[in-house]
Parts: sequence; structure tokens; C-alpha cells
Amino acid sequence: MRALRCVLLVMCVACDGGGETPPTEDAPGILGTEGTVLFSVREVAPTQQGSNTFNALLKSARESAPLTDADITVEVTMPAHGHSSSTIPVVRNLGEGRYDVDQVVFTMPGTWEVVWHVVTTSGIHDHQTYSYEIE
Amino acid sequence: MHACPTPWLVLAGVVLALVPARSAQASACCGSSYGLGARLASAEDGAATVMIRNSAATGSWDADAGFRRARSLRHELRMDVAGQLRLNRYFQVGATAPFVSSTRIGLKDADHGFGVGDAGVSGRLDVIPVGGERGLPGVAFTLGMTLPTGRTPQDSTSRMGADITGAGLWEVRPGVTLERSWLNGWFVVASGALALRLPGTDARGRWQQYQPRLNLTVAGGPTLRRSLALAVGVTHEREAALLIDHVPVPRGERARTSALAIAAWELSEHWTVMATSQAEVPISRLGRNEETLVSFSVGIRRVWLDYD
Repeated sequence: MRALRCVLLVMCVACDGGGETPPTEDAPGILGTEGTVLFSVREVAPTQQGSNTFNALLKSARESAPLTDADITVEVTMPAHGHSSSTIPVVRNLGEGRYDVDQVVFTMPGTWEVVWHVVTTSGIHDHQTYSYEIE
Repeated sequence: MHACPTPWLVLAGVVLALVPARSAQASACCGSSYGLGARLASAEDGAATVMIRNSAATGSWDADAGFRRARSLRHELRMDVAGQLRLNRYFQVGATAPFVSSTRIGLKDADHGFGVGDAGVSGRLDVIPVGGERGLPGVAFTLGMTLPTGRTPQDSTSRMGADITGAGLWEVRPGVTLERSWLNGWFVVASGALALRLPGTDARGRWQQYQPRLNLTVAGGPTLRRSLALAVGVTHEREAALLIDHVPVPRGERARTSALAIAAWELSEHWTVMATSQAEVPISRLGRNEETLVSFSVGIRRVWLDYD
């Protein structure tokens, strides 16, 4: 039993990689407007006024396969006020269908929309809109 | 002998000129509904005013008209330089140039920017003289215009939009003003104006049209010792939802309600010092889709009288 506890302890220490831990729980998937992409988008930290980072897992809706070659554009607008954010978000491909979007800037409190546009080399086109209430 | 302008006349003009002046961001992104031109008293041929306004965000009203307290700091310092000129007994014109400095501090970001804001021009036609006559209040028709001289959200290079100073909109604001004074020194001023904007395109290239924005302001108070005028009041603005591709933005109606306190102290017949305080009332249902601010202004006004 003592040996088993030691093994378990070593395993726990080994699992703690330190540094930045990738999200362990994906947001529920939402089918895009065109019905071809499954979007799982989550904020890395609670959304706030200023810069925000989002993490997304994109899958093909038909095959449930991760979209590893998606060309993603993200638009950030404040619909009620009719203007966009002051920055253009930066997209990074993390592999295995995962993407980070940084510099999603909400310049003032209110309701913001973040629109994800996805295009792949295999001809998949889709988009999805997320709404955030910023305080 | 020409009558010297009494402080309430100056203060009523201050109310009309300064009350609607919003922070650059609120006006910048969303169009302003400044509605009212500054105005000269009957014995005044011209005036120049410099006002410095310090504003801070306290929160916002969300799309459901619920009030949310601010979680980040936004602070703005603004200077408005304005001038008015009387063309004849009934008609006067004015112009305003704003200069804006803004600081934004989020939970992990901070940013600062400054620049020229959206300039304004105005005209006023007095139908019944200011202060009223024969039992009737003074009645004037006003016309204001905002010129898109400031930096728009689309032109911003700031991480948090701190350098935004303008809305990028041409805006015209017809309105009407009523003013009444009594021999005991009390006065009341009420005004209404409608801000009309030209259509344009949003960040995604879609046609968009801001709906007309209504501004209603009421203020009143006493004149003390013939040199100090005080007023408190309230202003309310509202507009229907923005149209994008001719479709209203869902839950996009906008509104706000502000409380005002204003003082004007006549140093001499040519110089007046003014102080104002304006605060959006942080109560749910008194606004929608708008930021709430508290601001304090101080300024000085120099007039040229018709008998100078």
C-alpha cells in the first residue's frame, strides 16, 4: 500500500507540467450558421473591458474531425453603438483544431459581438456570433 | 441705460451650452445629441468661453436597462473652447472646438490618448426675447451641427480605444428652447432637440443608420445677491435601435438620464466664472446601452456688450 501511495504521488507530480496549462474543458459545441462547423469557444479569463483572449476548438460538423487548417477571421463590434473595436484580433493555430485569439479588445462597457469566420482549404465556410456583456 | 446681463441669463446659457456635452467616448462612438447651442443674453454682442471638464465612468446601463457598476477605470479630461456672435437682435451663431485627453485602465491593460474632438456650430433664432414678455416665456429655435473632426473608433490605434475623440458622424440638431424668469430672481429653462445623422457603413461595410436621438432638458434655480445664479436640473436622451441593412439591432434602443447642478458667478459685467456637475443617475431603467459618467467642469466666460 505504501508503495502504491508513492507511485500515485510520483504520477501526480509528473502530471503537473507547470507553466501555462491548456484548457481542460471545452465549451459546448455550437453549430455555425452554415451548419458545416462545430464551434467550441471559451474565454481564457472572465471577459473584461480591455484586451481578452479566447480559445476555440473547431470541428467539421459532418465528420466531427478537428479543422487543423482553418483560416479564421474574428470581427469585434458593438452593435447598439455601431462601431468596431480599436484592434484587430490575432489568431494562432495551436494544432489539432485548437486556436487562440488574442487582442479581442472591448473598449467600453456594454454589449459586444464577436463574429468568427472560418474558411478551410477543403471548401468549408461558416461563421458564428458570440455576444458578451461587458461591465 | 443698457441693462447689465444678470447672472441667471448667463447661467441659463451655460445650461444650454454645457449640459449636453458628453465625454468623448460616449459621444465618440455613438453620436452626440448636444441639441442646444450656447446663447447670448440680449445685451451681449459676443462671448468667448473656455470650459475644462473632468469625467469618470461609474458603470453602464446594459441592453435590458440594468445598471452595472464599472469594473475598470476610465477617465477623461476635456477642454471646450466656444464662441458666440450676435448677428442682429434675433439671430446669433456659435462654434465649439473640443480637445480631449483620455485614460483607460482595465484589470490588466492601461492606455492613454488625446486629440481634437468633434467640432460644433450652432445658430439660434429668438422669437420671444430671453426671459419672456407679456406672461410668455422666451422662445427660441435652435439649430446645431456636429462636424466629424475627431478620431473615430475605426481610426483608433490605441489598444483600449483611449485615443477615440469623435464619432465620425455628421449630425444636425433642430430644437426649441423656452426660458422664463421672475422678478424674485428665479428662472426656469427647458429645451428639446432632435439629433439627426446621415447614414453610413459599419466596420463590416454594411449600411447603417443611427435613429434620431431626442434630448430633453429642464433646469431652474435662484439668483442670489444679483451676482450668483444656481440651478439644478435633469436631462434625458433616448433613441431607437441602430438600423443595420435596414434592420433594427435587437435590444439596441438607447437612453440615459442625468442630474445637473450648475453655478455661475458674475465677477464683473464682462467676466463670469462657471462650475457644473453632471452625473448619470445609476439606477436601473433610467438608461439603456449607455455608459454612466460623473463629471465636473469649471470655466470662464468673457462677453462683449453692445455698449462697450
